[in-house]
Amino acid sequence: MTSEVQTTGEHGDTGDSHCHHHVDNRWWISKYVFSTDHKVIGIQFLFSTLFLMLVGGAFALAIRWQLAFPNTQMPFVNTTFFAETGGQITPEFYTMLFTMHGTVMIFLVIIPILAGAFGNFLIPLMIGAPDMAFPKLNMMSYWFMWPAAFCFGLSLFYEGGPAAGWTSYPILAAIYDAAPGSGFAQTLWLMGITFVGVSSMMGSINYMTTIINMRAPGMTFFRMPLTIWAMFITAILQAFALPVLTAAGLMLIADREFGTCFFVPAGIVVNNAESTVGGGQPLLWQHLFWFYSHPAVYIMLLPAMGMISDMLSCMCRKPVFGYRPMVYSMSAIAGLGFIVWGHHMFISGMNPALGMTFMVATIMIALPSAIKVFNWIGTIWGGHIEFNTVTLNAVAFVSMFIVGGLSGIFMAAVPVDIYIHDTYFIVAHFHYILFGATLFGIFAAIQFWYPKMFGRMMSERLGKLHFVLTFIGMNGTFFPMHMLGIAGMPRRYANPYLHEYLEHLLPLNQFMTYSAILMGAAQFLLLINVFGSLIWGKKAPKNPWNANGLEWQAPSPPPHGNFETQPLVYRGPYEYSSPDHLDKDYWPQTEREVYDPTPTSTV
Amino acid sequence: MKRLWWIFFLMIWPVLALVVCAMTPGLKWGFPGDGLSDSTIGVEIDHLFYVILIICTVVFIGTQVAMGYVLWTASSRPADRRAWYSHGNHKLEMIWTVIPGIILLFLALYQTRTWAEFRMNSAYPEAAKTNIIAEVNARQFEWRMRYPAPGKTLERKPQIDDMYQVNELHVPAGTPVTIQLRTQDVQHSFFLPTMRIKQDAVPGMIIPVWFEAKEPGEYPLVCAELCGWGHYKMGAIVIAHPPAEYEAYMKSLHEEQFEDGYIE
Amino acid sequence: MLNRFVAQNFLSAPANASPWLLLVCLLAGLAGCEQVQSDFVFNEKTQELLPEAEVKVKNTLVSSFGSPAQPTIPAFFPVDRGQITLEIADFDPEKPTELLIEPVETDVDLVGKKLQFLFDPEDQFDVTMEAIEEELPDPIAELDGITIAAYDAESGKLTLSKALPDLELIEPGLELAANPNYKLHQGQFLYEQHCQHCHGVSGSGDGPTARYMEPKPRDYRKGIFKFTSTGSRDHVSTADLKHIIVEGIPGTYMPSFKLLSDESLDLIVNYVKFLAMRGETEGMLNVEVGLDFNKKVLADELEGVTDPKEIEEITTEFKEDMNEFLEVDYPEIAFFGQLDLADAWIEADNEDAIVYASVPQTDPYGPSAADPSLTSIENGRILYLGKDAQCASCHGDGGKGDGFQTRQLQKRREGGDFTVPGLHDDWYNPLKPRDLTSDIYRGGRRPIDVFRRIYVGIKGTPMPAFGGKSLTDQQIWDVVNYVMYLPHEDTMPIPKLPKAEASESPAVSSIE
Ligand code: HEM
Ligand SMILES: [Cu+2]
Ligand SMILES: [Cu+2]
Repeated sequence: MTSEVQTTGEHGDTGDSHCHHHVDNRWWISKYVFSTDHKVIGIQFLFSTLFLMLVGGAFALAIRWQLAFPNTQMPFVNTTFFAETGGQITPEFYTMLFTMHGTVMIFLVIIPILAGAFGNFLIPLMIGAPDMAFPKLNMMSYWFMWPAAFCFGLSLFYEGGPAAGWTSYPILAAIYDAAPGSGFAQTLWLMGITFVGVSSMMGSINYMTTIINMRAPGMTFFRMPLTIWAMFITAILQAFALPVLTAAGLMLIADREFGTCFFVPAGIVVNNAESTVGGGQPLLWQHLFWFYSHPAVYIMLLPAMGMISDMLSCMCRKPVFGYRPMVYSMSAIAGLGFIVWGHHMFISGMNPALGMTFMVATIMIALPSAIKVFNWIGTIWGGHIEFNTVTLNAVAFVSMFIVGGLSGIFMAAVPVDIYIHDTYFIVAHFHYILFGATLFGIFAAIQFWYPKMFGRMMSERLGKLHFVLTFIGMNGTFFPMHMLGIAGMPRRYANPYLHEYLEHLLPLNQFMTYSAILMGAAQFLLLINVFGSLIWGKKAPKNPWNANGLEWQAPSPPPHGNFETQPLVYRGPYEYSSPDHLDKDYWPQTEREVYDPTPTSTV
Repeated sequence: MKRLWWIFFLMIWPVLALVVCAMTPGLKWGFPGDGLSDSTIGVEIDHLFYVILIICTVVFIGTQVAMGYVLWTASSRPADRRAWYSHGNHKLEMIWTVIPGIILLFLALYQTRTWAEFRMNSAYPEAAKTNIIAEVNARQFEWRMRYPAPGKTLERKPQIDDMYQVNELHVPAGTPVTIQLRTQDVQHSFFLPTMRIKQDAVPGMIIPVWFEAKEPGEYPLVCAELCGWGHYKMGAIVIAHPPAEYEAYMKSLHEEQFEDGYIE
Repeated sequence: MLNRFVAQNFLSAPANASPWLLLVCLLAGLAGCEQVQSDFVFNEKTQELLPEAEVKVKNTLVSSFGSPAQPTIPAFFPVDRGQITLEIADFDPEKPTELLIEPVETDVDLVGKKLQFLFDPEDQFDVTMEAIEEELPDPIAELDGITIAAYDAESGKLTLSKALPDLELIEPGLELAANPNYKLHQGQFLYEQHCQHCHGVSGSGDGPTARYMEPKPRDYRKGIFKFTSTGSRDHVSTADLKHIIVEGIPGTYMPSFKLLSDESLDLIVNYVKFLAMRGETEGMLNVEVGLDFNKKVLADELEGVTDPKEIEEITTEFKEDMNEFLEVDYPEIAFFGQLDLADAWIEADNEDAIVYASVPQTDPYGPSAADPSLTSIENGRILYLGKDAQCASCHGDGGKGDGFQTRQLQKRREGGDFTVPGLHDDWYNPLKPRDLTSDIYRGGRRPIDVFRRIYVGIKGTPMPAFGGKSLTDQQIWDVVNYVMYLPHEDTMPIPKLPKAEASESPAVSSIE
């Protein structure tokens, strides 16, 4: 029986790739560049997004610099772009900075690193498939990210760059004259969004098909690890939401380039020129945009939630607490996620009655989020935990997610949102979710699956140092943003201190900037760890964490085709410390037991 | 030791967060000014804010303590004791679904009255319906106000005797007033931080916004929706007069605006 | 080998590595900490001068106006420099580092402050010229850079950082300015915060943000400001500038800065005036020197000459002329030119310079003061369409700003046509005549503002001054009434005198 091969020698086997049978004699280009192997594509995504994270981070630091030391000389930029004006940046440059920061971080970092890097790498491995259902499509999904990055990058060189924020609201984004950089740059930006959309779309179709059709024998839906569930739900979200964004983007491009006026009403005067035709409605864009972008914020979170569940369970040597409630709450988040987009528009001028309904839906979406938090705490409860880098990052994920979720309730309450909408409170909220939760989740995931990806362990010390510095820097940067928001500081201000009621916030902002610099510097530790460990890391065994998932049954790194033999699945992924299995505290999904008491041992 | 340090670390942060929050009013990082809202609806908004704040603080403390506790027990479990083998607990799941559900539903319903009062025409205070004092016209990057001549009502179309002002809005204090909000170019947002009022100005729409300044005084007005490079420059001021002074001010404004500069 | 070495010393021991990391970060940080300084830019005309003349002009500008980091301005310009004025009580040439001054009240610490001597400008000039003639060092120049080394408030004794030259002008009663350009510094700081990204470092209207704008931000360097309350040949008044900054210019990207404190506004106005004066001085020198000695004049003279010897001869002669001019005439021209400019600015702040209507505004619906058989609006309309004022030729018959001139090629000041049809302002930016139906009045919407627009015109633009020439004040009021009625044609009653129906002129009947 083939499964024998799987069950022997978890510890001794170093998983060297030359111990598998067939020799891989593809040309290096098709092996490493235009590869159709999901693992290579995943790693390509990982490295690309890590690089782009640095770019986005540089934008962020520039933003913070301006907020801490407004209109002073900004390092690097002063001599390069603003030598004539004495190194002082211009306000439209600042607009470009936060636009590009948001764009890069959301569309080129968080989404692709979750779905692209980890989705790609993990899905086939975790469900026991040799590859994705559509390997070529998969490859294209990676390569379609670059035209997007190219468009975004190129847009910087047109008239000061795109300047309408990542939300790109018309009229600002719809008329050439409305903003500097609303020139061709904005069109390029929209083309970039379209490419990103296409890229994600190809990925999501692929993930859905793979998960539905290519699970190993015995891998029922309710034996899937939560990571897979999360990826599955994310893929569904993307498939349903993305077309709307793409359509809206194309409409906006048409408005800009062909004067279609989907979003432009008549009679507005911009830069001394009056629009004569019209008939459009700017709010339409907001509806379409948020119809995508609210689900998108969950696209940016759910995969991390799934991965965290897996990692916590393994690190606590304990089954996930409430597996099914976890699945149901993720589905509920996804479902509700489609009917809450209006919470971004409470004060936009849409029908106030809608405000009420969206409020109820939004407040209710906090419920599944809460359930997940409780279940994570339950998972740790009574576990046998070891504080390594993975655990620390994972626990930080939960802790930060609580803050982000709670601040969400403030904003979901419409009357309170009247006040805090478009202030720094919003910025605090989504950074706690996107940085505090998702990014810590990603840090954990990198540390956890790195041995599988590269066959080497990452440095624990560097990892912990990176965690501590990032955690301190992150909270120092984002926690005070709640205060700024409550103090009434609006977002996207190049120099808030021109307003008397905000003047006293300068010292606080400076503190935040110092924290941000610390946090930014700490990311170099991550890079050193990731790249250094490629060469100097300890060789990793096949299953370094003694985990149950299928991916740990493949060699580290897995060869082309992943598994030497078709894995068979006998139980759920979280059978840690099972009383039915006393010789080890884990029980791999593929391990056949002589006596299998219950057919499904997951609840 | 190693274990303790990490628990400590994870406990430090919530405590610090709470301390910082508690210090906020003293450091003037919280609500602008004296921390009290300057408008009537703002008082209700603040109340709702504090209700949520209390609930969230309790939840925050509860979850962080729970997490600290489970982390502590889980890390100090003796090496020879296996982890607790449990796939969950149905009863617990029910409890922590239903109770938060009820609290959240209460929160949602508790908000509706204030929202209706602020935005739903039918729930406006009576005075707000009649007291339409000005049109606020946002444009890149300033606020242009248009008032009807003293004794007249505001028309949608500019009238020959209308009065104009930039970055300065005069209102009577102590009574609800309504402004008609519109924009000449891109989107803007009419934001009165000390009054907790905010409403986007949308091209092609005229949106009524009402508020009542409790006391005479000067209140900041800023823009809260990205409107281009000069977004941050859109500062203005709302000046609330005692009602009698307001009438007089409007008269003097009218005289000033129709000044023919003739000196005998 | 190496791998293992690095692994042991680096990866497994990050604590050892962190100082190095820190160093790397620091170095990278330092690389970014390089500071740049902005500088005033000279205009193209200055660059076209022959090198010797160019240097001379630039030197004059730098010595008179300094740089953005060190703005200075000669004391005779009407700019509030924020100086502390001291008066010499006694001076003993035996003790050239000491001055006795009259008691002053100031809470500023005088020690370390720069000191400037406020001689009568012309006397000062004479001293300099004399020194040049006798080829002696200029004693005035020796005064540069003197600071106050110590000050004793009780005795009024001022100790200077260096000895005073032997100069008769230094005598009791002479005024001194301590910390002479203080307010310019402050103004520069505010200008940099609020204005520079549009109006540019030198006030040339070409800051980085400016390129997206229509109309362009004002270029101060011509000293021309469009909307003034002063006469058509006068400079702008300080109050006008402040008004523009407070109210903004509706219909353009110039926003209102109403919320700035009065003090800040004054500082900014002050600095704007400073930039305008600097620009005007440069322009004046360009004209005075450039008329004879720019590169083009020389090239013209050399045109057609091929013999290298001859070329050399002409060039030498030209250069000799120029050097003589630069040595003998130039200092005088530069100095008195600046004095004249300063006078013009002083004039503009004079109460007399402000234009007021000599008659009160006519009731728009009452009989016109110019032609009582018509209502004021009716007469205004006739004037608007008529030959004398020719408003319609630019603003169009219906006031939409689409008169026939907007479709014609216009002439440039210096000859030649513009390449684009339509009107242009003095900075050669295309310009649309105002759409009078839009109800937007850039220079202010009070009747007196509109009156002034018509009376003094809009400076630097083709909008002419009608006041005192082609239109009487009564007629201007009629035009004002008509223009202000235009945006409201549809809501206002038809402006006809009930009795005058019989004596309609053809132009009036077309109103209906
Ligand atoms: C407890 C659950 C949550 C609630 C009740 C909630 C509520 C809200 C509300 C009402 C807003 C709009 C605020 C405004 O603009 O005035 C908002 C903004 C936002 N939320 Fe959440 N949220 C929750 C969770 C999340 C999660 C899980 C994510 C991300 C994965 C997220 C990401 C964002 C982002 C990115 C924005 C701001 C977008 C922008 O305006 O640029 N939120 N949230
Ligand atoms: Cu949302
Ligand atoms: Cu705005």
